[in-house]
Amino acid sequence: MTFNRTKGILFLSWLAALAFMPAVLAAQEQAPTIGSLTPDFQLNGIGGTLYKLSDYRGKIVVLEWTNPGCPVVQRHYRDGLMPALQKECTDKGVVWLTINSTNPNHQNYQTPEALKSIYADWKAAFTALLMDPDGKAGKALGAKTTPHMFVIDKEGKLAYNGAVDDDTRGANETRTNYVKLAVDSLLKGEPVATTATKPYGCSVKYAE
Amino acid sequence: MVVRNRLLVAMNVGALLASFVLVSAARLGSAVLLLPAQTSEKKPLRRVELLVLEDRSMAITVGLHVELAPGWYLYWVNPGDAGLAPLVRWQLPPGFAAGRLRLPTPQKFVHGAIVTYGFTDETLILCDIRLPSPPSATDKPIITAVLDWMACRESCITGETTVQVNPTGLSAAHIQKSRSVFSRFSSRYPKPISAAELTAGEARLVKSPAGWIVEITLSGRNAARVSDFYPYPLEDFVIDHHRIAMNEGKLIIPVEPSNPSAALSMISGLVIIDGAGFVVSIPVQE
Repeated sequence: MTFNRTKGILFLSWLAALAFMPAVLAAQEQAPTIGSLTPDFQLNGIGGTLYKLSDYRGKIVVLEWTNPGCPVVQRHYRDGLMPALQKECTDKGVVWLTINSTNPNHQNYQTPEALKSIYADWKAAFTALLMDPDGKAGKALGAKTTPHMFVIDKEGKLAYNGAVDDDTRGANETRTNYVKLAVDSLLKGEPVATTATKPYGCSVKYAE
Repeated sequence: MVVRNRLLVAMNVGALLASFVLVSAARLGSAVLLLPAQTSEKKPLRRVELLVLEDRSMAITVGLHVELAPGWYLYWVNPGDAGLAPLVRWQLPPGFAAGRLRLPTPQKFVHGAIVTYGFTDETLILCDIRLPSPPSATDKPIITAVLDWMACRESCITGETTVQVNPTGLSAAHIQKSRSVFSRFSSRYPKPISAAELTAGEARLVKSPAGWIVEITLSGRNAARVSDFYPYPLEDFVIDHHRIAMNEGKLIIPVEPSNPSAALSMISGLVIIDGAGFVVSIPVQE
């Protein structure tokens, strides 16, 4: 009896090893590359509506990772830069999804109701603000900072990944807005010239 | 028989757990895991001062000494995947000129797949200030440093701090403080790779549909002791810091070009051995 139970435990431990290893390795796989299909996700908006990324196939989509507790995000909104860009893009038929992947145990976490108020004060002009408290969508895209921008073409492929612009401090008189350039290129049916830049800002506050 | 079987079970379960931990830790290198702090202090920079460390006839070495509150960290020249590098704007008397900033070898912080580089507790940012030639008659050659910083703990705060020093007529207390601080830091600055008895033989850019990587071949007595590589910022390329690895004597640095015509001609950074940094700067071949 003891011998059979032992064999069972040995078998289960190796089975568990086979089951675990792919998950561990997969967790360290790359985020989507430029030109590849963007992983789909379903997230609740701050108003309770469920949003699915693949529902927007046929439209250009901008994903913006955000955290109102991050001073870089605050600068972009208080200076009016992000709302102006959101409006410019959504006026052209682009879908703009702002996503908050802050884990609920973090001091920066805000409830959907609080976020609604904060971003209304900032005059945000996104299509929707989505909650990603377990960070699954953020990790699937490889979102690292707030803000971190992704532009997706009408076929659902990743066209741009990185910083919103080249002005990390907000000190430049002129700035290159990579998101605007990518969106405008896609709208014209032209190749996106700059497809990847190093995003800047605070780290996304994922649950560890 | 029962004891032997129980031992076998324990060994197998132990092996399973060990393999899980090893795979998870494979890319940590010399990382430091930061845990959430217990307090909510809002002043991450406890003290910032400008110290005169060395006064030579044609140049002065100053040090921007930053003391951080517990749990807070300041970023390195390459902050990594997140954060902002410290910037210094100098306000100098006529004819004075500031050289480049020199920072100590940083620590590496890992939050999941997000890797950053920076300093906890304190840091000393050095800069050589060249004096005019011939010397100018300046009554009060005030050297002013405006530090633009981002500090993070559980959250991040940005700020700007201005400090000044008059290198003439320094007090005994200042001189003593400067010597004490510099002696604490003097061994922490990166050294040439030759000091580690290492040679960086070749840097090769390997392109594949899966992505681009830079391979740096290292050789020398201490090649096997290299645990990590902290890259300097790379223009027109995005570095995947989390996937930097050592593999059979080669540093593997995944990079992504910003645009189709991006060309990588040089790569620089710190080779890390036991927490110490050694500068490598090497042309890249395709």
